[in-house]
Amino acid sequence: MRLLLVEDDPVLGDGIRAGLSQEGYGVDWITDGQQAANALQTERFDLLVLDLNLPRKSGLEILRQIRSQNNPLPVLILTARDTLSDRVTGLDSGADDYLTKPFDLDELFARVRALLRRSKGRAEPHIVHGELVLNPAAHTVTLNNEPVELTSGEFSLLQLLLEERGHVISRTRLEETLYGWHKEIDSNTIEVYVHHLRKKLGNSLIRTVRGVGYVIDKPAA
Amino acid sequence: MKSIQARLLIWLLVTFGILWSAITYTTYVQSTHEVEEIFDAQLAQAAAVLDQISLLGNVRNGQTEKQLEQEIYGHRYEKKIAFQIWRNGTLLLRSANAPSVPMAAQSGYSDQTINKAHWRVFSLEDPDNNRRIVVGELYEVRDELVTEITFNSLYPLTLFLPVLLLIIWFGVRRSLRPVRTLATQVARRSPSNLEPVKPGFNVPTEIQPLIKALNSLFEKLRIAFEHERLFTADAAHELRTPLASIKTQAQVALRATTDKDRAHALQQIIEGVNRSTHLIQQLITTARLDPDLTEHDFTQVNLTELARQLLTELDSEARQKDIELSLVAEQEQVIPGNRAALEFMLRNLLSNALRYTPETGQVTVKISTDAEHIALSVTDTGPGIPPAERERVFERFYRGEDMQHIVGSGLGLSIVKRVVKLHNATIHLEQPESGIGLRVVVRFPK
Repeated sequence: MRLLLVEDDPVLGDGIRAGLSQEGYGVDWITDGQQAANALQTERFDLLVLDLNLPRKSGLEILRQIRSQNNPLPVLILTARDTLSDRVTGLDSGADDYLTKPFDLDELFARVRALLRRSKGRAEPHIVHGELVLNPAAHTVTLNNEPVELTSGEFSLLQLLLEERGHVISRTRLEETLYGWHKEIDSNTIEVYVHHLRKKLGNSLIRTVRGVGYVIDKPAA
Repeated sequence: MKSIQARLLIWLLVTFGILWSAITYTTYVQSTHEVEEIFDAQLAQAAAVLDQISLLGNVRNGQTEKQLEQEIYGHRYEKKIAFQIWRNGTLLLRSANAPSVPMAAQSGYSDQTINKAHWRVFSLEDPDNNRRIVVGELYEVRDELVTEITFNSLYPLTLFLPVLLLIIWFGVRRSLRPVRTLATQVARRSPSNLEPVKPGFNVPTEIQPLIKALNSLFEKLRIAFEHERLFTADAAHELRTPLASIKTQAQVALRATTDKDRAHALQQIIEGVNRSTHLIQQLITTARLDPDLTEHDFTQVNLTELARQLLTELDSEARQKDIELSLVAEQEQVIPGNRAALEFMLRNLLSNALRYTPETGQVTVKISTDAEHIALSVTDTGPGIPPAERERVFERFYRGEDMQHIVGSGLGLSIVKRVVKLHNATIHLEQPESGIGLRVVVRFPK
């Protein structure tokens, strides 16, 4: 999953990015409101973690702008403003959730997971695909009720493919999802992950679309 | 004497005492005079009557000295009245209490001492009949009467005294009731109630200044409390982000799988604590600066000297970045102001300039004058501030874009603006003629 973090405090931004990366998300971190608005116009993200007090363009302005463009991107507001009216304004401006500083990383992760799950149209916390069950909160995967050991990179890749079953996901998007921008990764990293996943979960699960990317097909009805 | 009530009572009693003495004295003097006149007239008349009677009665018929021995007194005062009737130097008749020598040598009124008693004597000469009538009266009669008259006149006044005291006491109490009511109202207040006192009665003019003073104090307190409340709210609010950053980094450190990641997170925690410390310092400065400063605290401040002092202080900091610090001032400029506030302002402008100016840059302080202003400017060779942002930098907690790597709370310039406002000065940011850096100009009225 690729997240955009907009937070102007350098230490907090660094911490959230590190924490979310530890969870296996690809995180892009921007400290400036205007740059964030620009990035949202050109890039594709799965979730936006947004501070309200930002230089150049406030978080609420960014939020109203993307909502006016009918962008359904899940948005989690992260702010020091904690009065009732602030929360109401935030939610009414189009936020999906609201977390006040200081917060617990575990709570942030849980809310991020819940928002991602809902945005993918799932009500249940687990993703079930035939005999394969993926638990995003616990970071566990079982096949035929047997636990399967996955690295965090493999897990994130599998989760994204499962969340978007039936859609072919490009290699570029997979890379960005796993690492965000600015990370030098080996060109064959994704192939290595797919190779490992096939070894652990069976060859037929992930289908390669040559020259485009990868897809997990919807189970035959 | 602490009680107004007791003071008033004492004063009223003293006044009453003086009045009482004055009345006693005048009554005494007046009645003495009146009694004297009446009694003297009676003496004269008695002498005349005695003269006529002695001519008519057997005394005329050659009777010699006869003394009225019988003690038949009709009145208690009778003993105190005496008479003698003389003919050609012979005593014809005298009262029992009269001596056998003449009571007075000369005719008319006189005061005599006979047997150690004071007498008022009237002597009447009747040359046609060769007679002399002497009538005397003891002075004590008059004295007694005067004393009685005086006391009788004071009697009702003295009787009335307790009533008067009671009335005065009630009157004073009643007049002081607004003070007690006010005290009760103030005493009943809760510490949070700093609304003006509204006595709800006709306030006596004497207490009005007190109420005004109280209300003005309440207002000052209210503002101070409100300021404290805002400050606490601000501080609590602004510390949330640094606290969140420290907590987040700590949790990241706990979860880190490599030593490098953990070290980075720990380093970030230290950075977060540094930022919080700086923020707290700035908040405290704002708190100190805000409520206490008024124009009453102004003294004559030598701007040039202040600039020189601060440049000396910041010299080592500047040298670390190899920045050239300089002061351009034609002469000493003195303005009325608050030295501590001005020092904070200039120090803040200078440390901002030093912070944002890259190595081998320049920071220049210039003090100049024109017809209406004394201008203090700080020019640096840093990145400058885009025109659109120049107003926003004065907002509380505003921090410039791309400046996140530089430690700062965003409070400094908002405090600077307060200091500027306090001194009726203006501040604005502009680009120096060189096109590089930033110039902050503060213009004080001359």
